[in-house]
Amino acid sequence: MNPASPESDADRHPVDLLAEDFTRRLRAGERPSINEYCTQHPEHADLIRAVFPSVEATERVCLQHERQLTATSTISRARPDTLGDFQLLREIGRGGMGVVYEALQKSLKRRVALKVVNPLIAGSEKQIRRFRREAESAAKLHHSNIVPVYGSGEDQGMHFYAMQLIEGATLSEVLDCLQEMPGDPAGPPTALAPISLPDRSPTVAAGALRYQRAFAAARLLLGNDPTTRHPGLVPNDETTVVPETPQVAAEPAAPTTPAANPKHSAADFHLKTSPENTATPPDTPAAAHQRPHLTPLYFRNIARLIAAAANALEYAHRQGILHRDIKPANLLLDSQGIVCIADFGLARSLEPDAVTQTGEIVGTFRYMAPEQLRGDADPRTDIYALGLTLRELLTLQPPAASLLPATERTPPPTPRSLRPEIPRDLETIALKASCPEPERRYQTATEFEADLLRFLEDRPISARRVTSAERLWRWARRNPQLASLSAVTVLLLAIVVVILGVSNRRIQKTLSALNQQYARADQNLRDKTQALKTADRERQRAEKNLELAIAAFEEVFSNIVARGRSETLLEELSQDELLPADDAVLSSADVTLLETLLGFFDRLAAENSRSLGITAADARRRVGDIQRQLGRLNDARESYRQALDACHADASTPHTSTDDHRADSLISEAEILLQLQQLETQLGNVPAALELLQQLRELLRHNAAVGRSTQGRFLLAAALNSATSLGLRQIPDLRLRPRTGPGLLGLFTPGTPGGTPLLPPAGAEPPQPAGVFDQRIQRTAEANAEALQILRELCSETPDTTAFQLALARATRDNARLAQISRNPAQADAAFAEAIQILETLLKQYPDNELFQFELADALSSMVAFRPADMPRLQRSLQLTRQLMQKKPAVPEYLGLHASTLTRIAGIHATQGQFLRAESTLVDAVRILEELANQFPDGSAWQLALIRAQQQLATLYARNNRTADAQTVLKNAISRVESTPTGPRLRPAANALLNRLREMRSALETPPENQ
Amino acid sequence: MSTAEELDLQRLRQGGETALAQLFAGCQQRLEHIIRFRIDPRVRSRVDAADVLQDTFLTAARRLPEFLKQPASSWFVWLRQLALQTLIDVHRREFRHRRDAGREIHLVGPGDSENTSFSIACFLIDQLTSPSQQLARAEELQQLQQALNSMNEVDREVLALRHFEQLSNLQTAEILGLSPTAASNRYIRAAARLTEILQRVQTPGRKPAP
Repeated sequence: MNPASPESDADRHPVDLLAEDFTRRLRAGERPSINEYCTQHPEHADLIRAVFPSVEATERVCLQHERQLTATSTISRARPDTLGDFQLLREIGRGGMGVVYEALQKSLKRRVALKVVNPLIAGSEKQIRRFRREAESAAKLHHSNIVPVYGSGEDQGMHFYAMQLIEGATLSEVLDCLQEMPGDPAGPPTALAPISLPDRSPTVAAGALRYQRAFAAARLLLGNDPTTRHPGLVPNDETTVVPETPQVAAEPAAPTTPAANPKHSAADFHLKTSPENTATPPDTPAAAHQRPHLTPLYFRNIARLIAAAANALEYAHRQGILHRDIKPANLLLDSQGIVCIADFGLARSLEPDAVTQTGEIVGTFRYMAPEQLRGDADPRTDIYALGLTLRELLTLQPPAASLLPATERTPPPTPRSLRPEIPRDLETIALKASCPEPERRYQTATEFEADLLRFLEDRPISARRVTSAERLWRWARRNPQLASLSAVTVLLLAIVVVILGVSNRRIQKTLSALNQQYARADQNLRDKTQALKTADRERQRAEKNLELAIAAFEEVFSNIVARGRSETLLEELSQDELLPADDAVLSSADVTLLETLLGFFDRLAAENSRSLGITAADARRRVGDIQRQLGRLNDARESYRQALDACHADASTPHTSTDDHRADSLISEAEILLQLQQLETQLGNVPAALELLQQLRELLRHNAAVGRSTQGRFLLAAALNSATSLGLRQIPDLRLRPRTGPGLLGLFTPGTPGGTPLLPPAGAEPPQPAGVFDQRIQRTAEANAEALQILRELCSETPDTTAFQLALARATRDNARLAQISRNPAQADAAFAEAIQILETLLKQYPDNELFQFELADALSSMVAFRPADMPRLQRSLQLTRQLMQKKPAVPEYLGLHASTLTRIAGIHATQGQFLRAESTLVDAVRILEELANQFPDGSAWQLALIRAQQQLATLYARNNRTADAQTVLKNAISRVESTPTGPRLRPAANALLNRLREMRSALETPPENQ
Repeated sequence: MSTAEELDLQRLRQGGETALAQLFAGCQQRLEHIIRFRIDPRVRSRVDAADVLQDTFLTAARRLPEFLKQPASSWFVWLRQLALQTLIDVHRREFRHRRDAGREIHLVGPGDSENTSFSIACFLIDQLTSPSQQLARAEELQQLQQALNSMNEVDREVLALRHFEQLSNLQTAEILGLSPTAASNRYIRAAARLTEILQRVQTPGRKPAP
């Protein structure tokens, strides 16, 4: 039951294991060569030669025995003269599945090949039904590289199917010939002496004929038939035109029937007068070799053959038909050199279901993909088998004789290590197609074919060009220059690329852009380095790859970071002062990607490999960026500090002696300081943030060149902007925040006419001495003013740099806010109008830029004081977010801003007493926010925005005397808060929010008492 | 005991007859193959291997609890034994019908080895020479048969089980009561010996046409 059981293998004689494999192949109808085993296992060669001949003979005996049984057991099992419409003429072949006869189809008067299924194999009714079904679907395949199946039938208890008669040889026979060919394949084969055989037995004669055909085909593939060489033709021309057909550069010289005269059939093949033929070295010193020298033309012929077979496979796969038993024995080469696939889906249809259990695998174990051994099969399974066939044609060695499934074997030697003359690209194609893991193979036969055609046209093959893990993996293997990089890092890099490939559309877009970059870079590289030696080219290519990969990460990462954070949303959320609303809103795909990126850059930093064009400091910084994005703020701080240290270390090494290097290093340092400062701002750590700002100033002051540079000044302005926003956050703006205006929640506070005091007043601000405010305001205003000044200068120096314009707009918005705080509404309105103006101008210049659209919409929505005069701005903002949502319906930030704006519009409606309009607008906002909150169950920002909106809606419902609705909304909000996981940092705030919601609910439940 | 075997037994314990049917279907072909090889040529025309198989299945279903209580052999070897027992019953019945009790019943097992020798000899001669030379080889045929008979009986049976019955080494070892290592070594020895015999019998000449 368990013949291949690994535990028993240890107990067995090693030659026994080989003999078992040999037997299995014989039973499968293959013709394994004893020499092949001797070559592969030289240590057992003597014993193999002693044992295998009798094994072979005994298996023949068994076959004979079975045949005799078949013939004698019942009359119906004897070979009949006719089967149905077919008159059997002679036996032309014999395989594991049955016997093939040449037959005459009487009704149509045509000669066909009739395959009669071995009754020993065709067992159960179920199998026969499956066989018939497969034969029917195979008959629907019409492709020039698929042997046409005419139909199937049953007569006298024998099952058969008819197909076109192909005058030719199977690739397995051709391979036998190629293997047995002496050094000079042009000469007459010594192993072949069929002409002298007495022609008494039709089977022997047929076998000899087939052998001759196979031999002719082998010589044809090698392209060295001396009788038909045309030395006068274009020599070695590389501008090859790929002929459509035939697949082998050959055509019949005379349409004689090969069957008539065995001698003649060798002459059936003549070389086509194609330029390629003369590319064959005519004077191969082959006598020195034991094996035939494989010519460039041979490899091209092989590539063409397999490409045609792949084309046929794709055709069949598109019809939903798998072959399941691709192997050289099932690929026929006809007299025109056209390859044809036989037995589509048929061989395996006859297998018992529990193939692997019985250990008796009827088909060809060694061509079976690993997943097929487990009982799975898809188009990639056929690709695997075809890939192995290609490999065998390249190396002339059959797949390894191992009983283990392919995944557990030690990887076979690469084809080129066996035969250095194999073209590298062709090897790559074969390796990719026959990869044990289906995911790493060609995913469709078309891809396989396309690469073979690219090889034939001398174009770069895709197996080397894809932006996928394989490519990076190959790069890693081939590039000894980057050996400082560990395998783990390369693996991580590969994983990142894979994740990039699947994570989302935006990243897909980046990747496809990257793909084009690759293609361009590849092309450039090809152009530039044609003269360079191969090794050099490979190295350069690999380095380029990594640079591109890192560029991709940066692009992807900056995409995540730069997805604008909405000031409006922050304002909205910070109204309560209860909750720190600085948690990043990330999808789980983003998190996975970031985590992987984190690991990658962490490794890079640890390995400190300069050859990658990325320093340890850079890598460490990216680690910090990612940690910050993931909300691990303390880790991020640590990483930034390490990056600073690495920067210092880097600055002290000799190679930074040039001014350029020094400036770069200083800029890096300044950037890290800025990032640290922003981090401390985010953490609300005022002294540390101020200290870092001071450090940055010092750095820039001491290095005047950098300090005066555009980049240096911009960094300082950014740090000042960050200090401003920190200052603004620190200032309790009870007087100025929307809450103090007649916002929704302020509607029903005691004393508001007509309002029911549903809510207790929001937590009162702790009283603070006015002097502290003023100091803070003063300091913040100074920072803002300085930032404004620098940015104005930068903008006037380089008016086209949009980053400066954007930063200026933000600084101006801060300025407006400060003016509000300082109770200077006129200045506030002016500054606000200026910010809007800057953004409008930007948008006019770049009408399709989503970032500018978003910024403008955000600016329009913020700074609202719930005055009716604000309405046009809010409407314009809505219009912009609607446009954005039409372009990208699923970007959470766009949806969130839209919802926030709706909330504010509702607030204005409410202040004007239009409570029903307010209600319906708010309902829209809640609906959007609900979607977002469900989409990001762990993204507390959306949850908070939703709960807040629900709170407001409940208030409105109550005001509109819809108590039940109010209760429902509150109930939803409460259960949402209760079910939202909150970290320890947020827990007190969440509890406070919960309490407030519960108070609201109980206030609703007992209205009479409150009246 | 291999894990696959354990799994099979577990399936049988839990799944009862349904599991038996499924597992039986898995080795049906192999059993059929063995039956076809061992069935007496004289009853072959009247008894179909499928009938024997069906009887075997019924017996197996009946005796399964007994087997599972204390498996004396692997599951497949047990089935093979049942199949061969069924076959012996068939032979007895057929020959009683034909009142042919005088003849030695063609039984299975090592006792069959001379017969095996003969068929091996016949077919090897047939295969290894061209038809034109066959008639001249009658003498060699006899030689070959004698040589095969001179082989160790167990060795010869190892060859028959591995090739004619297409059994695995483990199964062969189990049936002949050998350790897997011994069975494997015997197999290699027997095969090498057979090659020797073949080479001695075969006239030196060209290799067979493919």
